[in-house]
Amino acid sequence: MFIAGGVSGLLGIGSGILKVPAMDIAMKLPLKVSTATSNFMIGVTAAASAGVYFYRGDINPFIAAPVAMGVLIGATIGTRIMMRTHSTLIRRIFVGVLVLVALQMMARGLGLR
Amino acid sequence: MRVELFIASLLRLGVILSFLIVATGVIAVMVTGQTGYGQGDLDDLRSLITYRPENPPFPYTLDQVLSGILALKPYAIISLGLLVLIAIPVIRVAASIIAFAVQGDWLYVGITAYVLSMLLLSFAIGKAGE
Repeated sequence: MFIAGGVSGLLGIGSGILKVPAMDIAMKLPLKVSTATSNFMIGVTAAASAGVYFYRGDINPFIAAPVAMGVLIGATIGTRIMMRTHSTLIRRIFVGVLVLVALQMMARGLGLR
Repeated sequence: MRVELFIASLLRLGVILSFLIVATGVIAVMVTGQTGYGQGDLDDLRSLITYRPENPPFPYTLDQVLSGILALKPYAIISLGLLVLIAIPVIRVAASIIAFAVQGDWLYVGITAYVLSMLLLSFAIGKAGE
């Protein structure tokens, strides 16, 4: 989890991508519990940095407002869907997202974007 | 368990409140065509996202947000909503200290108090480092 925090702080990727597999594989928690816990942890840890960014004038309302509104709507819908979805489907979606992020990072690392 | 449900509804309420405040601010920007903080022009969207670390064209301290709210500046309304959103997890951590204390789980009261103090410390350092 310490590594997850460090990597996400360094690379700006969502630490959930590292936390969910860590809880799922190493700690053997159910996937839905891992997702929910990861979500909550990100909220608490992100609040620490968001407060600092805010004080430093790095949070532009013009960008933050649509992002916040979109994420809140999406997260609300996503949570409702998650409660009804089978965890094998969630696992497949998660693997898909991981592959996508990996490819994206590789492309960026090789200077293709 | 009742404490947990109370905290859950507190969180949900906070998120809805934050969403409504931000939405009000966004509507205010669109209706008035002004951000309330000069320097940016809605006709030239690029100027609104230009990074100006010396003099940001939006409120970024509690004082500025509060005085902006009193002057009904649209950006101050959005910033208030964002501050509410940032405050929700912090309030949740504080609330869970009480929840663990009610359950008599003193180990977790200690851990959660440590998390809360780290959160507050990061805010304090962030403010001082300006």
